[in-house]
Amino acid sequence: MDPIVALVTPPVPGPVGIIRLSGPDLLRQFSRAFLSLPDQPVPRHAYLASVCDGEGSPIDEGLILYFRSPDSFTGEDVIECQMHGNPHSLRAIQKRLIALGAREALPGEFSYRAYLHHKMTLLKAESLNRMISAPSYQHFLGGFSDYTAPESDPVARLREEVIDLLAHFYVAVDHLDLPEEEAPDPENLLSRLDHLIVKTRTMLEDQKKGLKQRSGFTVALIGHPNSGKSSLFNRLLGESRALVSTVPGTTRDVIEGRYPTPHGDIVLLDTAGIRLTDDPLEKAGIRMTRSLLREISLAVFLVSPENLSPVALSPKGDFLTVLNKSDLLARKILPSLLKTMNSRFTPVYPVSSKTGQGVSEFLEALSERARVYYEETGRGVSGASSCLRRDLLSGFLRELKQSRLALSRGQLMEALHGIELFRGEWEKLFGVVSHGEVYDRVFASFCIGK
Amino acid sequence: MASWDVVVVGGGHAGIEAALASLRRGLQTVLVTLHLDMIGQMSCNPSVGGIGKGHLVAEIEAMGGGMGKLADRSGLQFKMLNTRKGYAVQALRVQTDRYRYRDLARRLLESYPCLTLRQGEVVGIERDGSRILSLLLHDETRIQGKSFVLTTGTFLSGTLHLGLSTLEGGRGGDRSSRRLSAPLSEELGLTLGRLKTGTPPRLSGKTVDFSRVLPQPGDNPPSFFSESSSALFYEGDQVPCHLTRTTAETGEIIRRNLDRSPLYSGRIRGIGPRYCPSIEDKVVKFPDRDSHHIFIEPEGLGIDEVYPNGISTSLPVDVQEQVVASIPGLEKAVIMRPGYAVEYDFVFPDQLDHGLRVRHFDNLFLAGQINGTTGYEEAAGQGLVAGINAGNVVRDIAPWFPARSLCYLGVMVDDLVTQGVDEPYRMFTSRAENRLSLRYHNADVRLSPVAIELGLLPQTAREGFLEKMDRFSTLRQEMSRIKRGGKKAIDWLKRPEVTLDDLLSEEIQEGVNWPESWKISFESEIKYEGYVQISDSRSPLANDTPIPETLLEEIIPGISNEMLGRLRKARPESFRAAMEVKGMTPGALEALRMRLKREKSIHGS
Repeated sequence: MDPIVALVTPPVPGPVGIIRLSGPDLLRQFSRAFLSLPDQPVPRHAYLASVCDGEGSPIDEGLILYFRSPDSFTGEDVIECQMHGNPHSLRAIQKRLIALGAREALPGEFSYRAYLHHKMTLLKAESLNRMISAPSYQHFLGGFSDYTAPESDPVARLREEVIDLLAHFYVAVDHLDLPEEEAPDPENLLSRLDHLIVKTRTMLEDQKKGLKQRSGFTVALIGHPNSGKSSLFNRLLGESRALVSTVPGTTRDVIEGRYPTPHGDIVLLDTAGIRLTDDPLEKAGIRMTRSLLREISLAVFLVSPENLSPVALSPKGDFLTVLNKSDLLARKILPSLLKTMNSRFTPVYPVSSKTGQGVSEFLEALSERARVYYEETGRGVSGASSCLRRDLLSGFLRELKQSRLALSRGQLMEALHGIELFRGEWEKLFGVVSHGEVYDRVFASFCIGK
Repeated sequence: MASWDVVVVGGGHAGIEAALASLRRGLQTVLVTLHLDMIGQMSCNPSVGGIGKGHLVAEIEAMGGGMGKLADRSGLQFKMLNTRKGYAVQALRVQTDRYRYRDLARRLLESYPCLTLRQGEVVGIERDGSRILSLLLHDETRIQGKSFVLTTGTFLSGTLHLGLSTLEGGRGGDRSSRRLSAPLSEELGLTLGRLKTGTPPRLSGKTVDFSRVLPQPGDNPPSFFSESSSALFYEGDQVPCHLTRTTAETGEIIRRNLDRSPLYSGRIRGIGPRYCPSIEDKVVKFPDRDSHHIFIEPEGLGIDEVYPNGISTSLPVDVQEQVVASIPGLEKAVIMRPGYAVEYDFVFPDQLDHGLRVRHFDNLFLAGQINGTTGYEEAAGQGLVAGINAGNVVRDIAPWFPARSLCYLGVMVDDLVTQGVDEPYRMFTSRAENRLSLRYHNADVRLSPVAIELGLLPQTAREGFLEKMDRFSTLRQEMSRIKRGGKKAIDWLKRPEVTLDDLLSEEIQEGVNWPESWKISFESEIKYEGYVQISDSRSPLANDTPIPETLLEEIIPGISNEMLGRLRKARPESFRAAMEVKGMTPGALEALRMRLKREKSIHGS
């Protein structure tokens, strides 16, 4: 694999900036970038050294740490440069390393290499990501416990039951020529399946709950196009604007931003505008927002004086209404308008993203709800909920149900078929389930053979 | 000096099938064996087929092989197993007359004019580089050939254990092949290991109290492995098996005498098959069970000897006598031959390619127990594959690698050569991830076309098969045309509860007079079509992306040296095979998958 380099601290001025380099046999290729670093540095030893440019003059001085493969985060050689945190000098160092043959790392590439070199399982990588993006300390702890012992979670233990189930199926398909009373009872397989279905379903529900909890106190801004969602979003985030990012994957039309409070982050979601239309693309957007409503902690419906009609979505849970662009209204109309609105959607916060009027009152209301939210849920943050696990469980549940249907019709092989196909999914997360491993289980629990 | 196209060493089930595959193609073939009278001997129980094993026999039959016909024509009892569990689990098991089986096997071989039988012990192998030239017999005869198949069974440095005494031998009453292990390991550079298997004592039927055991009848009418078989070889009824069981007392006797067991005193070091455990093993490993079942199987028509299947043992004879006497119905039974265990040398099969050729030789093939397997059917299946490929060497055509997705033969060969063995290998349907499409009833649909292409199917069988396929497609057309209640007949047949007989009528004439086996074959073909497609498109296991031979020699980014070492040793030929290599981590597999993807995009295949 080619060597990769990245600035791993934010590119803003600060006391320290860290550049990480990872690849095979780094010293041979990059040692000339360092002044006063021994030819064979002691791994995990902090050296005060400089990084120099192509002419050999120092760019900056800092602490250089060398990790020798495989004892590093990525499993490759790693050099970490803790330099002064100036974006320009840091960029110069990066450029130098790139000139020597490194490539700028893609987002998440260090973790990916750690995964490829068996330093980290997929589940671990996932929990690492969760720790980093945890909306509160409690949430961080949940991710951390999962990170340190991902195998101890209930889903990993379910793998054992899957092997047991396969073992029972294997006995059933291969050793049915035993006399009746010795043969494994198909009813036993059915009840095993039932048991697993119940268990998987419960675990799946837990995962879904945990996932919802995991994302923290999420607030979605929902409204007609031009109701001022984005300007309110920006106004609320103010200085924290740097934290705004597009959320990848399923919610591509949703922008996420975070407003930190002492109890935990308020995770703000800016959604696409809702309007009644036949346009299939916009319809899809509405469908997405509708399903988003089920996953968030609080919905904020925005209306503006130009369009006071409510959006064509009914809230699933807690919600607030914001009358945006309140600066457009004559001061006299506002109280009576609020009065009528309050009777329909309560409570209503008049806000002007333009002037900032009402924003702090609204933020206060959000913070108060965030406090209540984190106090209530913080203690029970489940450690091992993740999308990988949820998807695994929901797929598995589907196979189990189909398998049960086939088995209830007496179709043994067909019942086994789906579960076996799904074996690959278990393997992705929890390691290969070999025929040998299943058969070890068979021999441990059955006296088979004549 | 005489020379042959194909030289087969060993006259067991692997050797017979290897020789027959060569003979069917008209190749000059010599079969060398220690004792000519023992060709086709069933060293263990007198039965052919069963779950997984029966699938193999059906595949051998579909390629024109001998085992199915030999079993049919020496059959005393026929039983289609799992008839109530769906077609994909079904397979035939036949209890045979072991004497007749042996007799027919020899006669079948001798019916080919291009066969030479030769009694003798192979003691040396001569080669020129990677080419085997000839075999040397104990009597100093040199057997020259173009291609060689070794099927040494349990005879390679075989040692028999009975109590604490040991005896050189490959089978009760037969001597072993003592002088071949050394040349195999020293001159041919093969790595050998040691395995163990065992048999129960044989009893005199006259002394069994059949009123105290439960009869287990066969199917009436019987089904056969071969379409060319139609009736029992004798007038009269099928011979039943009988069921009895060990008692608490049996366990007591065994536990009391464990210090006299070669298994538990450490005398036997070879690894035995866990799925064919000795009664000692059963008692020790499952102390809570005070009873294990025993099938009493007939050894032959009009033969007194019976085979109590389930009490394989190597305890001393006096203990065997006590064990037998503790079993209901066998209280007064007399032992005719004591049970024993046999230890023998095998060749670790990961030294072979997918055609069962030793990788570093051009024309040397191994089949049967020498590859670490157990069972007549497994041996015969390998014999067929090795025999075909030995013939392909003679004809100078590409080897036939049976695909995992095509047949149990392919599953077995692939398991053996990519994973090796750490205990005797037996076929299970659970080993075949594509088991829904690898059915007993469609073995001919899967394999006869291959056999025809390779020139292995005799003319009558070929014509029979082609006619059957013709009739199948006629019926399929009729059923796609005729509708019932707005739905095509063929779609009705897809429903689990509907049988072909329910649909045949005046409108659908084809099929009415079909033999039962055809009906089942057709019906199951239709019923499983949907599953087959699912399996092909969705199965992560059916990832048949090939791994180019040279790829594993390079350093693959993301695969640790340890993992790469394992891969290089196992030499998986497809990604699926790599997934099955022992100890592979998901990370290593993911990296391999990425590397293969790159390979694909470079070569655009």
